[in-house]
Amino acid sequence: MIDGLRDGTVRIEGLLKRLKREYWKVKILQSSLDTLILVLSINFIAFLSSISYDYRILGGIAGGFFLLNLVYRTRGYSVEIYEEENSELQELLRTARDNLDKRDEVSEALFGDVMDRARTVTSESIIPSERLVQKLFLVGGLSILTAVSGLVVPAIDVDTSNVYESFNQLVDSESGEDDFRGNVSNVLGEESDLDETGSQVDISIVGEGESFEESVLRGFSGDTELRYEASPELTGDEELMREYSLRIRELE
Amino acid sequence: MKLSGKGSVKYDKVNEKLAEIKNEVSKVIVGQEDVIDQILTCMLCDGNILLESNPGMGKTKMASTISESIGLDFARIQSTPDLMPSDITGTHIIDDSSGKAEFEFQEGPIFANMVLADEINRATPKTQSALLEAMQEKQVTVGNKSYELERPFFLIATQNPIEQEGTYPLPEAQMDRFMMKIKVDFPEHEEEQDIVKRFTEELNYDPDLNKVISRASLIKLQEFTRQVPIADDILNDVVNIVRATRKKQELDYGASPRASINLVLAAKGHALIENRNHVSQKDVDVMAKPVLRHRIGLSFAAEKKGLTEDDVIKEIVDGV
Repeated sequence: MIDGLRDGTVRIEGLLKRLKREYWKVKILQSSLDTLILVLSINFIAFLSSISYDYRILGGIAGGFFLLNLVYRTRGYSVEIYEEENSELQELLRTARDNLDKRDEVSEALFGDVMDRARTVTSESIIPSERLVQKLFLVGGLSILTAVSGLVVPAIDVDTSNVYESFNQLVDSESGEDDFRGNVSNVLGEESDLDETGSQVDISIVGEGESFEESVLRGFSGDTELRYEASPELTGDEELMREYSLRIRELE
Repeated sequence: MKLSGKGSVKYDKVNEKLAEIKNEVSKVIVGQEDVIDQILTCMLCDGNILLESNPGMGKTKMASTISESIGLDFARIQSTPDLMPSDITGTHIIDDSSGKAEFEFQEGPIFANMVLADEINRATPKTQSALLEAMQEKQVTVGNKSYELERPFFLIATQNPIEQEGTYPLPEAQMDRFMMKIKVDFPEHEEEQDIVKRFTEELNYDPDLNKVISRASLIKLQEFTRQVPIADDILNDVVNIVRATRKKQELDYGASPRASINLVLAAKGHALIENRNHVSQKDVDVMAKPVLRHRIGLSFAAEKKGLTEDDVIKEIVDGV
């Protein structure tokens, strides 16, 4: 009998703790929503006003606001809050809370009654659902405004200097010791013939052979040689070309 | 002395038993549900009752019917100016049946479980005070010897509000010992028709009443009543209500701490009757008038304004 009565008290204590947890869950949810609304609003207003800010400051404001809001909302916790929202618990919870030390049949019956009726009590019952929906709509609206504002406003001043700078750095690094561009065969110690500074390579080839008609008239012969002459800028390399040709024949 | 009605009635059967008692009483008494509830509440709280009504309202019938359905011994005392205390408490008589004359105590009508003192304000103050000890201490003293009254013991006193000539108004000290002052109003039209039919169609209307509970069960019910839990804030409200009577301008004097005790007890009893396992604010509101109305005194200015004790109590209860 005594054990049963003690069990009832323990169950009620458990219930009261559970209700307190539910209360905290609701208040954390509400504070989170309030903080979200604040952050989105600040972000949107700053965007419209072209004010740039440090995200760390916004994070600090949000964190501080969340804590203050939570403290404000949770300062007056009592089981009467549940009684107001759940008419079936009217006066039951606080009577049970104030008589936890009692061990008799009527108190035990009260504890059992409280447990039965409180079975359906969850955090939903103390959420001001209408206000919550309003806040959710506000959060949604602010999110959409924030997203759309980035698309429809044409005069977005995008700072691309960083991109150029990065690109130049990349180019500079390629012209250093690890240069891989140009004539890198370097078989015979020749100079690089690639003009790295310009983007246009001017090569002209002038032919001195007979024309097509002349060759038809003369007829093809086996020892006929086609002669070509490089542009005057490349005549200095004639010796080198010849040497290459000879080496190639030797190899063949 | 601690009495126990252990094993006589289970808590989950309490409401069923109380409903059966009310059902038995309704076989005789038409309507007056509030009055019956208040009398039962007093009985659950082990309190005494002062019934106030005009003559012919069925007070005696109501008391005897309730006592019969609970299986209590019932006694009636008709108070008159020449009623002596010994007529109530009993007296020593010489008994010589054994051949040897000896004084033997002969119990008076007070030695019953339920005593109805009709028109108590017609008895002299000396006789009225003989009831004080029985009401409070549940014992009577005759000569130099005290006799304990059998539990449960209730005193139901009645008085007539309209006929004050030749009466001895109860002193405040004695009024305070009544847990409630219950006013019995005139019945509604349909109720009165039923009363007339019921008591005119038979020569001696006396239906068989079932004894619903035993005396031990009643004592167990009184134990359950004390166990009904009350929230701290409701208890605080009760104290505030009673304390407010002491400061109210319309009142010459307010209620004592005994009124606070009785109001909490009455609220517990009412909760039990209403099948509630805790005291509600409604119980306090309902019980405030019967518990407080005889414990406060209206000032001359309030009486001149036409206020009643109930008006002032309602104002206090609404304000707390």
